[in-house]
Amino acid sequence: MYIYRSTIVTLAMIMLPVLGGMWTLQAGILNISQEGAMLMAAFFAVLGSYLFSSFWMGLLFAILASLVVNLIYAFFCVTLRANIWVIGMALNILASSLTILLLKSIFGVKGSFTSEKIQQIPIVHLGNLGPLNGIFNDFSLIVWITVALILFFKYMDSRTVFGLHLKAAGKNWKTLDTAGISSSKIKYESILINAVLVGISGAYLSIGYLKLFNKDMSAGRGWIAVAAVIFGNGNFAWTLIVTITFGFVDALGISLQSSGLNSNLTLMFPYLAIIIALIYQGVKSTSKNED
Amino acid sequence: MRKFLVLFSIAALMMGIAPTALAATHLRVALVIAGELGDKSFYDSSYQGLLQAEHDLGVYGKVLPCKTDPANYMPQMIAASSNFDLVIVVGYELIDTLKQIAPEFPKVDYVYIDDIVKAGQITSITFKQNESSFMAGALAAMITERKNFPMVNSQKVIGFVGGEDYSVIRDFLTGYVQGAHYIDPSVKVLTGFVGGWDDPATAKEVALDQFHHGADVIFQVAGGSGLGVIDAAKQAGFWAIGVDSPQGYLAPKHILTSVVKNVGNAVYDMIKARLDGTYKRSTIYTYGISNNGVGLSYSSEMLKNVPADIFRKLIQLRTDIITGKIKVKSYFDRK
Repeated sequence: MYIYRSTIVTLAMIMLPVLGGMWTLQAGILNISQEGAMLMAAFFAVLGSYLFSSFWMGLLFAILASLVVNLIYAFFCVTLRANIWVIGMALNILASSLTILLLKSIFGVKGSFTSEKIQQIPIVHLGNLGPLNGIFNDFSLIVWITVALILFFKYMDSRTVFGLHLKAAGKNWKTLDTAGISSSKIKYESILINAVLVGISGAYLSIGYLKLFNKDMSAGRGWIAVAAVIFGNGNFAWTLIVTITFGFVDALGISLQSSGLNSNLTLMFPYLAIIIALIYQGVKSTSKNED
Repeated sequence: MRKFLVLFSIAALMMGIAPTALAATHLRVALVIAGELGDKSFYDSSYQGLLQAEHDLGVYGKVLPCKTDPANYMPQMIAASSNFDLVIVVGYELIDTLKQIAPEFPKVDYVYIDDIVKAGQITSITFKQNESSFMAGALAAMITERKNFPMVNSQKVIGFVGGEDYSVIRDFLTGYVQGAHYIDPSVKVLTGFVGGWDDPATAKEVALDQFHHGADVIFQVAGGSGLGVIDAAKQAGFWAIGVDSPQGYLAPKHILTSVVKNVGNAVYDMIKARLDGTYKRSTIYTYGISNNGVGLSYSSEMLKNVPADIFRKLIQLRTDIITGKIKVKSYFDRK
């Protein structure tokens, strides 16, 4: 039973960057800077929450930090048409070092920071639900925000003009421009939406699930999100399925450790799952091309 | 290589690191660290030892931090070697540089801390973390068996969360398991590894999973990730055991004690031995419980959280380990 809760928690940390990344991918930009934006957001969430003793300020700071990273990414990749890998990697490395520098100059500590003044994002208690307690109760507010956002984006994706514009910007931006709609604007919008989502996920990591900042604490979650986005290739259902699978496999790996399985084996589970998924997809697309 | 070294040393000399103004009678001690001071752990502890030696023994000491930048390793090591009599090296990142440098400065004595470096005149200091972990395991077992103790359930299960799975961490685990089984062989020890030193979120997951499998005392040896275990202890309500430095202040009501390495003691002893003339080159000095190299931190939090009878039992175990009545197994023994 606990594995269910563990899966939800793991999912909450990667689902929002996946949603945002899928959004930008539909507009034709693979967002590589997720890891860096998430880390920056995690740091600024702690800073905001610490300074004002309010998790709302933490969330706001996190979203603003993520916006800055994403705007830089958008400026280089959309306006200047730079190579996404170069800019993405630069931002990720920058975020890793910058947060350590800020940690030292603002809080005067190295490595990690925690304080009683940090206010955590609250946990939602729905009252006594009887047998459903374990399924719905006592999750972080962010978990519910994530669920709401998934539904909202599903609606946006399939039912709105904006969703169509987004796909047009990705598939054939010239057509969109000819129709009198700026494809650059659509791309910027998609990246800004992504920024908000990644900001929230970074805040969840540092002041939602935990109550501390540790250097490099995003620990590859941004990259996992990028992998899920590449696999989903803009398809809503597939992207969600691969993300949920990843979350479950990750939780399963941790749980199996307690049952005595070797950690070297269990810790590879999630990454193994991603590789298998990508191989499957690669084989499928090559055979389709041959037809 | 030699040419390089000479150039480097000239550069180092010109930078004025040589403490020429000092009387020749002072022993000059350099502490070369791979990172920087301020880690509240290893480096700071070794610096304390140096400070104390300066104060008590009148030696001249200097810290040369490399800031974890490989470009600094060689210059700092050369600066230390060409200007000091005794060079104490902390940080595994410096091992290769140390091996290259030591033969070039035959007059200088080198001490490497926390691993065995077999090269030239280098003397190594190792710590028996298995002994202190044995005490932690015994403590955890006694707590988990106790009835009506806060945050303790009826199951005899304790946990261990490591950062990465390698020899030194396994040595912690070996002692911990033996200590727990010494108290009661039926105590079950759950083992988990995070897979990184900077991933508190996963560490919290691992700890909570162990908690849901019945663990009510969890020992973390996981660096920055370990903070996630302490966070989990506060949230879910179980006991944690800290590591390296006294971590009780992080969660005074949820941390029993911390397993500490007194690097400072070792540094001080080496300087003192060098002054007394008892220092030996190419030797391995081992610091265990008997010479206060490792142990539990008897902080005010521990005295508050641990019942007096368990405390007395721990003191008894400590004596038994020192007198050799209890032989603590080491992961390094099994070859």
